[in-house]
Amino acid sequence: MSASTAGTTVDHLTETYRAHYRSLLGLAALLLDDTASCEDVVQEAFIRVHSARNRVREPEKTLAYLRQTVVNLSRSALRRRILGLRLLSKPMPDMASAEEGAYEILERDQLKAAMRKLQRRQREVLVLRYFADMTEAQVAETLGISLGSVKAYGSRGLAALRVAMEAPA
Amino acid sequence: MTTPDFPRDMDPKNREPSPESPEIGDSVPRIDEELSTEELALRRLLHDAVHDIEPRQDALQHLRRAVPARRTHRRQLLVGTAAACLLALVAVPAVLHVANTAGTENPNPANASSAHDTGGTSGGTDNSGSESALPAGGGKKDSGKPRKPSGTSPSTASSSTANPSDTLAATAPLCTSADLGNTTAVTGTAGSSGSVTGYFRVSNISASPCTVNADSAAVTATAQGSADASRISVVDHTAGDGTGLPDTVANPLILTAGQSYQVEFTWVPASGTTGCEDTSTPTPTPTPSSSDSSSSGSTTDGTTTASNVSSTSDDSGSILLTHTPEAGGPAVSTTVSDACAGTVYKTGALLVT
Repeated sequence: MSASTAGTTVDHLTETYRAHYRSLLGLAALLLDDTASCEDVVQEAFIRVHSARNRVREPEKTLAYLRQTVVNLSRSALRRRILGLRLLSKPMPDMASAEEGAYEILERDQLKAAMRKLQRRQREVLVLRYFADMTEAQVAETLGISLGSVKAYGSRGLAALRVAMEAPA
Repeated sequence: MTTPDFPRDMDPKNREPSPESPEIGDSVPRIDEELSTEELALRRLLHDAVHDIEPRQDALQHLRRAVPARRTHRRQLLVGTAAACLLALVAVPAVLHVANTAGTENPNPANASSAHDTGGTSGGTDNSGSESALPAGGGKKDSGKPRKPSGTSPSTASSSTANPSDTLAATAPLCTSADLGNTTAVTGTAGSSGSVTGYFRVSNISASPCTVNADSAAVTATAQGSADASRISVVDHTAGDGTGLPDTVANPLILTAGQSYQVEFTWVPASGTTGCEDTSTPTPTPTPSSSDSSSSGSTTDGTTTASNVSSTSDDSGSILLTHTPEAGGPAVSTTVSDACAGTVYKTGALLVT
């Protein structure tokens, strides 16, 4: 009984890992000011969600739980705590791959710098909305704020980003 | 409002997903229709920005180890919390009980049961002197250093059979009502002066040693029949009060399993041989006696009924003496018959050897 339960759990874990781990890494990297701890955040989110049995009972909700946990963990207080507890080596730094052109690298660095300057809420809304492709309602649920707030944070975040991206160019 | 000039050839939807790691994001096509050009550009930029972030090589292996470990940890946390709750449930009443016992112990004015050698002084100074000389921690302080020979140990010739109260004091807990039992109460016959001696005996029926405080052996007297409750008093025996009772050693007694302590008492009538007045008028005190016996009957039903029978059989007064151990139970009672008014002298708890 317990063995079979463990078996399905491991399969579910592997499945979730294959399907969502990379995207969650990206989510964490975009939410965090520094990309160094994003893998720690995602690992911790996976461990938390999968060690709570009532959370893995409904596999279709696992991604939502994972994203929410990543968002929560990415917020500064928890992130600092995890940084303090960090046992693992640093994850992959955001090095540009060789085949990319200088323009793309410049543009990406611009974006990162601009994202970093956004308010936390604005950054969270933009990342969930445009990177995780969530609807505004899903973003509202994940962040625990109203739909109107999501719209407001989103439009203000976009405007701020636009200004920041245009200024140096 | 100009959109940034994003290169179009980097559209993430055109990138081929690698087989072992599916594409980032959910790549839901329907969202494209709702988004403006600017939003689409941002979406592509965001995906681009992180598309080269790769999981560590051992990420999945680490998760496979860490998830069961976390589950175990959560379970242990749960068990630990439950154990802590249980401990609190047990410990808090115990602490409250100890606090209660200490509270009832302090206002007891008759602390003079110790063998105190300041004989010539008046009663008031004697009491205060003995109280200051009997700090509660005094005995424990000595026993806290188990290997250090105390002042009394040289008197015992062989150190191997040391005084049990020296070696066990640090570990034996206070006797609870469940630890004590096998109670007996013996009342002798009246001597020439009318005084009656007797004792209560209580055994440690548990399997482990426990502690009884010598000076907390409570004895209450209940007047029955024609006995006058207002003229009966219970006092602690003091050295030189002429009762011939043994002196109490003012230390906590350690009762090993099966060992007993006893509380000795002497009933000294106030006048004559019984203390009863010679007036033949029946003292109309049915209400106090019934209320008294009902109050003491809460712990000792059998004794109360027996003494009731004796009090109804003859009209003369009798006194029901009840000893209640420090722990609250079990109470033990005995009846001094033909007694109306007088004084009960009692010792503290004495170890029965």
